[in-house]
Amino acid sequence: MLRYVLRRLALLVPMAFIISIVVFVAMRMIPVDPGELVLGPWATAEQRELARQKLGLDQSIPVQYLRYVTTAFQGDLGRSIKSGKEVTELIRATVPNSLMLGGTALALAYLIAIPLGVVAAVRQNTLVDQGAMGFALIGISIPNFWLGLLLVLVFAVNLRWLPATGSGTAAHLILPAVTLGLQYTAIVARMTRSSVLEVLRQDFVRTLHAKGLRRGRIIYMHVLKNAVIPVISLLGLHIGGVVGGAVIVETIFAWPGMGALLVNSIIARDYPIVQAVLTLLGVAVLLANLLADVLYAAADRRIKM
Amino acid sequence: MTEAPRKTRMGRRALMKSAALLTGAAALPGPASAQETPVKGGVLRYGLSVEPQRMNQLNTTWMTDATQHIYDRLVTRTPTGEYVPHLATWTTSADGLEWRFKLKPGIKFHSGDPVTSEAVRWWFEQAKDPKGFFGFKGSYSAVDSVAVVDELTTSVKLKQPDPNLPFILYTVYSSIHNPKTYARLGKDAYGVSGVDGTGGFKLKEFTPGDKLVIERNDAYAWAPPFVKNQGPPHLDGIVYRHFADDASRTAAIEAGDMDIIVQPTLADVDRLRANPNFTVISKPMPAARTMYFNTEVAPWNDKRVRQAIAHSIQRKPIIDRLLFGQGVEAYSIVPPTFKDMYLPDTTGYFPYNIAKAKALLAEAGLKDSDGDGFVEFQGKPWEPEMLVIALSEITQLAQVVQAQAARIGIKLKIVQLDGQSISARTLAGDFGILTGFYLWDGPDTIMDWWLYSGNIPATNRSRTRSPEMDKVIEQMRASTTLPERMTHIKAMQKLLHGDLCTIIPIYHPLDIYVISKRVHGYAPNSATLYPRMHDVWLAKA
Amino acid sequence: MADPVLDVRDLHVALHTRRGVIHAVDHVSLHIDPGETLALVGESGCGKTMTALSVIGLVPKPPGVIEGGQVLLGGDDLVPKSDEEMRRLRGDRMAMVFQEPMTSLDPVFTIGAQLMETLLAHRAISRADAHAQSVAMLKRVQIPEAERRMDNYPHELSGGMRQRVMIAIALLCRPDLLIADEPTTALDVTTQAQILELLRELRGEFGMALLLITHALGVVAEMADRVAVMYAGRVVETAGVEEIFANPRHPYTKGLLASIPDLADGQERLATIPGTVPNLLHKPPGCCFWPRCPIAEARCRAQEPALAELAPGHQAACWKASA
Repeated sequence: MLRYVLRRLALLVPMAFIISIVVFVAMRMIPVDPGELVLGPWATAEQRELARQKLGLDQSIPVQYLRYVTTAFQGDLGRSIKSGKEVTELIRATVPNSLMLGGTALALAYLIAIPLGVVAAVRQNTLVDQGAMGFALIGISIPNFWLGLLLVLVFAVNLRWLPATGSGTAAHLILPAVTLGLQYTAIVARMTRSSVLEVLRQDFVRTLHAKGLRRGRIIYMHVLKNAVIPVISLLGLHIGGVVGGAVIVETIFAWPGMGALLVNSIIARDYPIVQAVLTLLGVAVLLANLLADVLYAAADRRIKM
Repeated sequence: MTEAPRKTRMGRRALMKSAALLTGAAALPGPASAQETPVKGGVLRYGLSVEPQRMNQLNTTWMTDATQHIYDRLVTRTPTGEYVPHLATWTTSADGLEWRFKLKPGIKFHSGDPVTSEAVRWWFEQAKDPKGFFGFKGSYSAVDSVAVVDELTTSVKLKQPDPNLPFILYTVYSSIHNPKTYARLGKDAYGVSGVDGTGGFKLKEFTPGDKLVIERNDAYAWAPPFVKNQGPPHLDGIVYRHFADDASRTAAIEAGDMDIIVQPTLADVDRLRANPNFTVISKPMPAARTMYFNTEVAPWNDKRVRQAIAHSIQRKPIIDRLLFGQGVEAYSIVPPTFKDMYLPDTTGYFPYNIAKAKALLAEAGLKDSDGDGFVEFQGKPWEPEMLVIALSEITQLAQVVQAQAARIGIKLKIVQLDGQSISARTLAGDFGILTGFYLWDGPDTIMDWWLYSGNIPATNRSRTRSPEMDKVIEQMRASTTLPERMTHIKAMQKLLHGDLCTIIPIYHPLDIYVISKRVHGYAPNSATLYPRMHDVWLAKA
Repeated sequence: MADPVLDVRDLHVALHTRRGVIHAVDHVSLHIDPGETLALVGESGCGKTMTALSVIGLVPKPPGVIEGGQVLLGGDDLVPKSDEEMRRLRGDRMAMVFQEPMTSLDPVFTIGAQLMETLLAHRAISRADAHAQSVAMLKRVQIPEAERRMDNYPHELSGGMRQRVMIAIALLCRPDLLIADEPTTALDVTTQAQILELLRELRGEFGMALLLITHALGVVAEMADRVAVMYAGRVVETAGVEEIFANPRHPYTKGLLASIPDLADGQERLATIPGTVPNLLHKPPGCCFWPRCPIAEARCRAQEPALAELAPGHQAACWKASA
């Protein structure tokens, strides 16, 4: 297992390079003059050319990439074209926020969703099941922005229990984490339910009953452990999504995370940021998948590493 | 600028807000708090609709609110629109070719360095440097040479007289910096990790995507003459936060997270006005939403067809439905708040009139002969495309325009596209009718960009070619006095909106501020795009 | 004669499905004495497994409903017992081994854990004791390196080994009754023989009653003391093992016997019974076998025959058997 993990980690290095090349080339394919971004819409042709030279855009793409990688290894990812901030600083500022929001949202989602899914499966076709799955359906169907604004309206504007926006304290985290977590709760609950139902149909469950085990032990030890294995593989996807994909929630709650940074930078064609953030997210997704694979293998010893 | 999708609207907005109105403007009433005694202290929380950017105009044209408060300019403008000395007084030679700026004594940068004529000279050199990045160096093109006369006096020599110079020196784009600090930090880090201006606030923290924090400059003793508080600001500081979403910005002030926000959701404005916890102030933006034609394509090349469309537009329902009433009907590109420029006659040129519109179409040969309710063009059913950027406000506008054009028998087909494609098609001339927008403090410049035949196709996207218009624009450019310039600007409106109709204005949007009752002394008005903070104070909670 | 370990009397189990009621176990009576092996024989779908599940209380409910009858375990009726009472009996006084060793063990728990939890569910003993007893039982079912196997996962064991583990689990609490549902069907021939041998040994050693469910008459011949033949939810013939092979009375039993492959002359001659198992949703009136019966007559179609004693210990439900 350790060897497997080391091998996968070693593989990350070329993968990171490939991701960075793809992102780099893609950013240069966008038919927008970054010179305009520096200078605004009123720039003259001559000023644009100056800007291009300053940004090194007059060089060929391989030369530009080489220069980028060289400076990146010295810890310099360049400066945001728009704000002028160093990209490393922007990333340092947003990564902890994204991890905190994403981590809380996922933890919340999984902690609620797994028991919910199990209960729904065990009580299949009862009111409990229908209630839980109705909740899940709502969770999947409600758009993030609507839910977010609704929660703000109720808990921040009317009840004044929680702040509507911003970051810094645990109270600030609650509404965005719930908003972001709900759709994951819904997805995971449904997945858990169907997974549990599938496991319940398996032969070994009958053996467990035949052995005279208590129902609780059968469901919460045996069935659950079997059923969460496919759910773990979802986690790998969710980690990537929740870090980079929380744009809407970050926007609604003015949460200073990576998702909003990335999307705003894409819209503005602020490519030093886009370049760095996308590469980082790519590596993060690979790491998340590795983590999911390791967890998966730990839970199911049939998986050979 | 037209839709100009490549220039993000946010960016343009930041850019334009920072300049100021060319005309005198009526001050709008501020919150009724003037009677109370100001309290010192407290941090004001300000919710922006535009992301804060670097505060160095030499390295960008994107500007931010805080720029107004961190730096001062040589010239400032009173709420009634006169240009008056701020950091410096000035004298002009009789021929208008030499301006001498004499700094007031005792002014210091945030770093403690005294402000000397060297800083003024340095500024002019940077601004006019033809190799420089300064986005507005064109405004300084009249400057020939700059020289230090003594410790506090600078002489600026011009190539030709420029009546517009006080306006140029007043805008945030002419903020004064400490050249030593600028050199020490370098132009990339200056304005981001540090600034050294003379303003009433100093930069404390700037985290793009999160917040911008400025704090009181306790040494401040050179406030503009027209503010009440001549000492350091009352506030300890200001925290700016950016909310990309109008609804969450609105929720933030309603939840008590913010003290002031700009641009709430339009549907909520009336409700917020009725809320005793807030004051809502709105004023017209220096902007217009328009529609324009490709004048090189038939039948739009026939001005009678364009005039027919102008007669078909009914502006009030558009403002009521799309903007929840938060807008001003536009008959001229120039908003009525630009009193010296605005031509009031424009409202009467092409009023809503279906019969007249139909008559004009018939004259142009566009008739409904098959009885389907829509006119044919060259004997064939005609369904011209209207290119629309896929943004909800613009799509809705297009739908209303479509319904209104149907009343005169024109069947418009709405084609939604992304900004890139619209930009490409307009530059290539592959379009018939489009919506347009600008946000800029100089509608005179906009008309120059949009209508001068020499600007085809990049900024004159309607491809307006009119010798008369070209002549008026050239006259405007050559004006040596402001009143002369105004005469030509009015003539341009008369020609465009009274005859050519290549661009049809629809509405001017509003700048809307929602201010918590805790906040005293905040008075946005049409003369300052970034309302001043000198007199602002917070009541103790 | 000792009291039977298991005495099933007139058991009636119905499955209430959306399409109708299936009488899966249709008034079945059986008994097994201590140390005795009863083979329950029949084609798939005839109700063998449902009968076994009814005995240990694992009929899926819904759709299953026990409509009537008694299941006496050591004279104690199980039908009215609560779920919890049944749970205590399962794995302790009665145990079951299933057909498919590959899927009957939980894949994500070790063998040891699955053995020990059975003991711990029924006995107030320490984990150490449970471990020791589990190892001992693994040894008893002839699993080599039993100690080490405790830490293995099911997928690390062969099919035969897994079935030994299943038997070990079943026998941990020394049950009075072991139900083995097609215990060797999924195994290769050599392993089949080993498992059957093991079962026979253990039955002798523990003196339990064995209810062996199978459709393989070869297995029956080797293992059973008595045989009950089921068809369409009913017992149609029951007799001692030699008697039934020598003297089958029900035409269905005769058909079954005729379909045994004759391994002696090296080729398979399968005399299959014509027709198919009847749809239990629409049972024909009369004898349920008549549509496939070579000797059916008018009475068979009209009236259902009851089990009748034809010889001591030999019963058959056929109008024509006594003739």
